[in-house]
Parts: sequence; structure tokens; C-alpha cells
Amino acid sequence: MALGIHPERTPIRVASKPFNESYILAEIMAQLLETRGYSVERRLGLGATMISYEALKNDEIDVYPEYSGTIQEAIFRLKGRRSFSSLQDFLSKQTKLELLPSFGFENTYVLAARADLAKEKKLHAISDLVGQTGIRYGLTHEYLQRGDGWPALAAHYGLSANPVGMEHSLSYKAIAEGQIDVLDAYSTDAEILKYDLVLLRDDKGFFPHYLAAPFVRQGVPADVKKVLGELAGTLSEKEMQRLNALVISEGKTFAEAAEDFLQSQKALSSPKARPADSKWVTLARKTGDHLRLTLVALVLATLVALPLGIITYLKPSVANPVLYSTGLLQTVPSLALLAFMIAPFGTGTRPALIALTLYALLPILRNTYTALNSIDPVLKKVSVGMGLTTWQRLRYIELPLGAPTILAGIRTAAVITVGTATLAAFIGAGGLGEYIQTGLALNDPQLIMWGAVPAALLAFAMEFGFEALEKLLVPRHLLQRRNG
Amino acid sequence: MEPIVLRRASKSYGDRTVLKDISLTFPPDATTAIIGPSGSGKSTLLQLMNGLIRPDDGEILVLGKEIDYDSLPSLRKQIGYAVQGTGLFPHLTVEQNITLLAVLANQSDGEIARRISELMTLVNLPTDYRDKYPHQLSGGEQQRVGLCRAMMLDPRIFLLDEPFAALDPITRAEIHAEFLKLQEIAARTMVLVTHDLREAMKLADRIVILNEGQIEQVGRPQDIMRQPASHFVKKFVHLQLHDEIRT
Repeated sequence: MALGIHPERTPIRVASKPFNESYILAEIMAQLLETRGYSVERRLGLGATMISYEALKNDEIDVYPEYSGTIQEAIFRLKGRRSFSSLQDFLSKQTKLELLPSFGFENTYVLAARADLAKEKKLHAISDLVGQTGIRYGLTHEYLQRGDGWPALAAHYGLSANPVGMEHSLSYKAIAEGQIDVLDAYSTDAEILKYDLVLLRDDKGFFPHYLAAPFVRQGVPADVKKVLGELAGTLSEKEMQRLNALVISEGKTFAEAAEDFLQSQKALSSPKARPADSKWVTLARKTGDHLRLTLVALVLATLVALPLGIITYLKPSVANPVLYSTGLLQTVPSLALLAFMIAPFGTGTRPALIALTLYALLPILRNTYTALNSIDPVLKKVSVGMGLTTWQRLRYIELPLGAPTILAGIRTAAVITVGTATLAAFIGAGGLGEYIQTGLALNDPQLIMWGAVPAALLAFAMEFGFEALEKLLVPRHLLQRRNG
Repeated sequence: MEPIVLRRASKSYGDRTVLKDISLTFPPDATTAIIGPSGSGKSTLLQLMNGLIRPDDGEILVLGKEIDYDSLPSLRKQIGYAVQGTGLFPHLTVEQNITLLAVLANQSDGEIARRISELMTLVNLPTDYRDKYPHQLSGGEQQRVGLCRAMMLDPRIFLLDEPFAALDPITRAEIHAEFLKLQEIAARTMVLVTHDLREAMKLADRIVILNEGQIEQVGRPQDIMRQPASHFVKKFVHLQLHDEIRT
């Protein structure tokens, strides 16, 4: 029973949030399951707490590593101090989710200050910050928004300050360069050691406990939960910091760090994991995924926007409402749009495609509308006067004449979509955005380039492809007249 | 049966009256010219006949029936329509321009080929122009293509809205000659809107003079010349015909 594949089982879907520790914990769970014979599907790097929680709730994923404090305050907004077991109780009875025993360490929010400043102003605890002027805070966006985040902390301690919001990985850089004085950190961050920061004690007991544990659906099979339960109490805070440092300071991959951990635990040890694909194979795969996402979204957008554009031309009264509402879609922040998509559509390719299609609509729609309305009125009068029906006019006269402008709209949409498709990674749909996302999490510019450069090349390829298409579909003298 | 009949047709835009109480019939298989100064309503009058403009009042009968505004395309396919500047479709070749309606009517390839050949010869267009695009032709050649296009389905009625206005005098004279030849070979009901009285005199069997939305006179060219019905007509004729080069 110990080592055997269960072919009839559907894969266990293991997810993570897009930061270092989450990736590592997810890899540990995934590799452990794999060595026990389960097949695992990884959905790593889901954009934010809300995305991973919604995915779990909607049976899109089976497990991801979460923290008790986050569950209590950010997700469910429960009042009062809850012990770990009372939290488990709450989840089992009032939700369809379950918190398995903790990995064994706490990763709580801390405020960390520059060592030299802490020495100068005698900062040992958070209370020491009260009444100080000129202290520059650089806090993560999520922390600034969370109910249990900055607003509550400031109120609890009586701190008045105007914190600046930044990416977690960038805030370390900022503090190292002396641009900020205090940042929010996690107690197991490897960077605390690296950048010589002082942790300020939570002397007024503001922060709840943040014990790390597997967050699963109750519906996950009992034997799977048992395997995950083997990880209980195996990771200390120090050990987690070490694993984090393996990735951040020593450049190991998440999978390697996870492997390192599992090997060190005799009881859990497993045969060497299968070798990963070479860098170039992975790049080819991700580029292929990216291209596929882009092209499918483009085709869908054209299938919707082109007829819609024709309708606005035939019925001018609906033109403005249609154009304005499509334009409105462009203004919705992409990550927010992706988060909204999860409840109805799940994670993965489907919501990503829908979001990408919605963003690609406007250029095509607007160009179709403009193209059809810009036709020479004499030509229009003649085509009507000679007896062509509405459909005949569209098919033989108006659409062909409008083709250059319409194609230009699709071309624009194509290039835009190549860029927007990088966001697909945040919702687990893959593509080149995965490099960018991981690169951001690890503060690794080179990794970001592995995503950004191929994406840029894809955009160029789109441009050339469309230019060739234009030459094929439009008589040369019409193109020349437009450009000349 | 008169191919086109107007009874008390009127049209206004806002408080500007363009046509007032027009009653007209057009003799079959003959050319009628509608002439008048700009703003007289002649183009509007023409467009009443193929439904491009709807009258506020009155009736319009084409080919014996009142115009059915719900099935205009089928009516219009029975009327040849040519405009100033031709309106040739720039993305189609000469052949595609001319044969478009026949192709849409599902005529056989052989029939279409025969017809276009016939038409191009009739208007003195070299048949190897078929694969050229409109922008490669001169103004006169384009106008001839426009005429072929209008004639493709062999309609009984033609509506021509200042079709020769943009041509230089020499080309215009050539086309006039061809026009008369065509009418001689197979006469059709032609309604020709023009601002040029000489052209009207040359091409038309009957002239309608329009001024400020009302008919000043209807008659044969010689009658208009010899017996102008009003002061306006007299002045109009004088201005147009006797506006010689000062010597």
C-alpha cells in the first residue's frame, strides 16, 4: 500500500500563493503525496489570498498552505482570540473546509526596522514607535488592505503614519538602500538575517498566531489527509527560515528546497524525485501555452466583437451604449476581474480566457464601428441605389472596404492580449507570466526576463503575422492608399 | 403604361421645402432630362423614384405600382442607377464591378461573360480592361464602366444623377454620342438629371425645368426654346445657351 500508484484516482490539486514560503510548503506536500503514489496537479502561484480561498471553496483545488491568523482575520473575520483547535472546530462545523495539524512553525507578521535606526532611537518594541516622527514605513499592499492589517495595528497602538504600499520583495531592497525605515515582514523571512534588521516585539499583543498548516476541503479522501498529517510538527521556525534561504540566497528552486527537507526527514524520505524538464523545454512549453491562450482569446474576441460592431453600424441607437460598456471593461483592474471569475468559472484556463477575451473586445469593436462608418458616402449611396440588400452590401462592399481598419483593430487586440496573458499565471492558467510571477516573488530580475523577453518576441511575431495577413486579404492599392 | 408617375409629391427638410406638389409622368423608352439651378430639388426628385428619399406627401408609382418601401432592393434591381463620380467600388475589378448584380442573381457564367462582353463593346471599352481596377482608368473610362454596371441586368428604367458632370468637354462629347447610339439601338426610359441645358437639349426628348421645388415648364427642347413658359425659363435658357466667350 505504501508505494503504489492509484490510477483510478483523480489527481490531488495542490496550490500555493505567489510567495517563497508558500511555494516551498506546497512543493513539500506535493512531493510527499507523489512519493506515496498519488498523482498531483500543481496550481502554484495563485494571485492572492482571496483567489486561493475561492478556488478551495469552489472545489477547484484540494489543498494549499495557509496560516491560522489569515483564516481567522482576513478570510472569515472572526472576533476574539481563537486557539488553533477552536479554529479547526469552527471550520469543520461551519464550513466545508478543514485545517489539518500545523506544520509546526508560526510565520507571523512582524514590523522590522533598520538596525542602525533601531539602535539610534532605542526601538525594541512596536510601542517604541509611538510618537516618533519622520519614520518611513513601506508596507505590502495586502497588509494595508487587510482588516487585521495596518489600520487595526495603528489603531491598537496609537500610531500615526502614512505608510507607502509596495511589493514585499521590493520593500527589502528599499530598506537596504535606506529609502524606508520600517517594513512589515514575516517572521520566517530569510531576508531578516540577510539585511540585518531588528524585529520589533508585539508588546501589546496585537497579532494573532499565524500557525502554518495545510488548508484542505473536507471532501478530500481520508487517506490523503493522513499523508498530509504526517507533516505535522516537522517544521520549526528555524528550519523554515533555512529552507527559505536556500531559495532566496542560494538560488535553489522550490522543488529542490522541498526535496532537501523531505530527504532530511528520515521518516518521510523518498526516492529522488523525477528530473525536471530542461530550462529550454520548459520555456518552449510555457511559450506554447501563452500563444495558445492568446490566440484562442483573440478568436473568441473577434467572433464576439465583429458582429457586435456590425450591429452598432446597422442600429446606430445602440452604438453608444455598446461602445461605452465595452470601454468600461477595460478599466476593471485585471487582477480584480480574475478574482471575480473564480466563483462562476473556477481557476485555470477558463476564467483566464474569459478575462482575456473581454479585454480584447474594445479595439476590435471600435475599429469595426469606425471602419463601417467611414465608407465613402457616394459608394454607400450607389450600393443602396443599385439594389443591394443590407447583407449583400455588408458582404461585398462594406466589410471588404472596411477590412484594413478592422484588421488593424484585431492586430492591436492581438498585441495587447500577448501582454495581458502574462496575468493568466496568477489564476493558474500557465504561460510566460509564471516566470514573471516567480521572479517577482524571489526578487530575481533574470527570471522576470525569461518571461518578459519571449512575450515581447511573441508580440513582434503577431505584428509580422498580421502584416502578412493584410497583404493577403486586402488588394494592394487599397492598403497603399491608406498608408500613402 | 407609364413607367414612372408622380402625383402631388412633396418633400421638406425641417422648414425648408425642397419639392412642392410635383405631378409628373415620364414617357416610356424616351429620355427625359430634369434641369434647374442648384437647390432646385432635381436630385431629390430623382431619388424619390428609387426610394432613396421618401416623400412627405403624394404618391409615386414605378412600373405601374406604388413603391413598396419594404422591398426596395428588388425594385432597385430593375432600375439602372448611375451617379456623378461613378461610385465604382475600388476594391473590385472592372469585371467584378460590372457583373456584381448578375452574380448575385445567380446567372450562369456563360450568360454573364456574354453580357459583359456585349456591354463593353457597346461603350467602346477594350475587353482586356476587365481585370483592371477603377483607379487605373481615366474619368471617361470609369464613367463607361459605370454605365455598363447600370445596364448589366438590362433594366427598363435608368436614373442618372449628373453622371457626366465631372468629365472634360471632349470626353463628355464622346459619351454623349455613345449614349445616343445606345438609345437608338435599344431605347430605354431614361431620367437624366443635369445642370447643363445644352446636354439636356442634345440628349433628351423631353425636358422638365425645375426651380425652387416647383415645375416651371415641361416640353420638348424646341418648345422650351421657342415658347418659354415663364420669365424664369426665359432667363435660364438665355443664360445657359447664350453665355458665349466674349470676343
